[in-house]
Amino acid sequence: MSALTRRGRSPTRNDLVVAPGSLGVPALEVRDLSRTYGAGDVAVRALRGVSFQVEPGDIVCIMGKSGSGKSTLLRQLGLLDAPTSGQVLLSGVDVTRLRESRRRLLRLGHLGYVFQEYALLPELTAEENVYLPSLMTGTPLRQSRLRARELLEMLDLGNRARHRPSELSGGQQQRVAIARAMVNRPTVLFADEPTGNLDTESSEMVMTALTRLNEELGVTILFVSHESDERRFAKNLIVLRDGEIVEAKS
Amino acid sequence: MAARSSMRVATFLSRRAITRGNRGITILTVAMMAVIYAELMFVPSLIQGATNEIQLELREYVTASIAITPSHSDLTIPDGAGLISRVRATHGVTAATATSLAGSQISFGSHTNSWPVLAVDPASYARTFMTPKTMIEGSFLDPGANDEIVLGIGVAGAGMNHVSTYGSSLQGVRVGDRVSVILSGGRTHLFTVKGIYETDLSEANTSAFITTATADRVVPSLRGRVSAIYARTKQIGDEKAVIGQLRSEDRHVTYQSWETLSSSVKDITGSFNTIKSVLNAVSLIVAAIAVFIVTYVDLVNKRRTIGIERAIGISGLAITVNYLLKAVVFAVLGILFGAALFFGGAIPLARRHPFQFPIGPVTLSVSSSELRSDAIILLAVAVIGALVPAWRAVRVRLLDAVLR
Repeated sequence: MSALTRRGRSPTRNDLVVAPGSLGVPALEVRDLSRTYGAGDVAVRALRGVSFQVEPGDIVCIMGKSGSGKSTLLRQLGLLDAPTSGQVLLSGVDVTRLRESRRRLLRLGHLGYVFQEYALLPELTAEENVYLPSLMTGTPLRQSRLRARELLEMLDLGNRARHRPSELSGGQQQRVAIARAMVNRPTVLFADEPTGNLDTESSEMVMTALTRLNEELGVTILFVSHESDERRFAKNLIVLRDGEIVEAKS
Repeated sequence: MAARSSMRVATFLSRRAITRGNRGITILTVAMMAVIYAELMFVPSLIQGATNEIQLELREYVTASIAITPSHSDLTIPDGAGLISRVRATHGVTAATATSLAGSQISFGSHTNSWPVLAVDPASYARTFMTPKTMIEGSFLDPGANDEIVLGIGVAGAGMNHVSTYGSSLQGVRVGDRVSVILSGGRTHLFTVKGIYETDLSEANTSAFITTATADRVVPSLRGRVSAIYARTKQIGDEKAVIGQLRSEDRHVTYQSWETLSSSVKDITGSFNTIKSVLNAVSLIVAAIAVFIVTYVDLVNKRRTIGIERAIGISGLAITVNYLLKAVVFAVLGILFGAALFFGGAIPLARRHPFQFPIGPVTLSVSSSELRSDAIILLAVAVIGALVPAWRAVRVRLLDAVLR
């Protein structure tokens, strides 16, 4: 069964292991996505009918002013929140209305998410933080550790593998978080203002790391940024204002 | 497979959290569990110690190991002399003595009251009971004593008005005084007080003793009559076997072990057990609340961490089990330290400085089954105390947890 024929319906368990970059199928498709918080007079429409597609291997920057709906959009795509209406299709499979147990499996195996505040577990070393999601998939410890080492080496953190987050700089912590998001070879990687808390030099290193992963591993990346300078790392740009796309260009 | 992975991740996370987490919180939690466990054992041990002391005193002063009394409404044991010989020859019996009720009323000056006056053989009585070793004035009867009597403090009073039974006693009787006794058959006889004893069991302090020889002389009708036979066994627990051997020989008497006869104190030990159960329940509720609070505070502080774990795909089961494992480890460590505290500190200290109860000095006594059941209950309580907040934490809306 090709990914195309599955488009628009709820996935079965097998669908959740769909291969990335299926021929002609967007890595990610968003259809008329809306998210409203609250109800009645106090309702806030954070997203208003957003639609776009992201091709496999693409790297997309989502920009907009504070409150424009960037992070809200990313959370819907990263399956951390459920939209009020509309659809999110991952490799052609509608993942919008899945139960939390299914969403968790997708977050674990098919999606990577990088938070602005690094979000590493303080009691684990960098290496352990990276391979934790791999352990959850049932991968043997040795293999998980090896994969974590490879990613840390790739992100120039090989010599920091046994350090705890408190012993790392902000930039290093964010790169560990990126490695963690990549450990289960996700189809799409989401990064919510990954440089928001970093100085210029660290920001540059983090963005370079993301583009390197995109180029070398072919992972599709969507990142949110408020720094106009960072659009140069993206192949495509989406600009949001008041929950709507006001600009989308390559 | 998913459950196995969850367990693996839970073990991984809990190991790291315990070894690398906040040492202060770990130490405090373990210390709290240790104190709760020690406290859980302390009260039952004290009550068990008091119960043991009461039972010991009953055996030593009132019932011996086995009491043999006439069946039905008989007042004496038929062929008492023959039976006591057979009792002494029975395997497992170390001593036996016979008593006969020689009188029931004692007077001194204007004070008079009813107490049992027992005729005993001083030598065998001293081998069977410890009463002769509790003399506070004078001494116990000699085998050849004539017209001499030994009184319990509850009978003599001896001017000790702190004794609870002082009001109903003869109050001022001391060694050397002469008391008047109404003997069986109604005859009155004067006896010189040879000694006054005081045991820790007030029930045992309201008797008087004269020698069998004196009784035979002053009440000839009592000669050869035995009201009761008391036997001391080699070990506690031998009573049933000894009674089994004796019962096959004689069906005209009643054999009762000290346990059966201690029914008079069953109300006391029963109340102790009720108190013990109430205190145990309170301790366990305190333990459950303490574990709940520790886990809850930990979870509140880690709400975002849990959100992140869930966001990266860690299962709710793994997160919950992680906290349960931590609670189990803290409880096991607490139990071990609590047991060390109890056996290394409280028990030796109580042995050196026993608690002074009205029944006498009481030490701590704990059974291995109590130890085990307390440990299992504490573990269960710790698991439940951790499960509730952990279960709730993984049910918080993911976005709320992540954004906190």
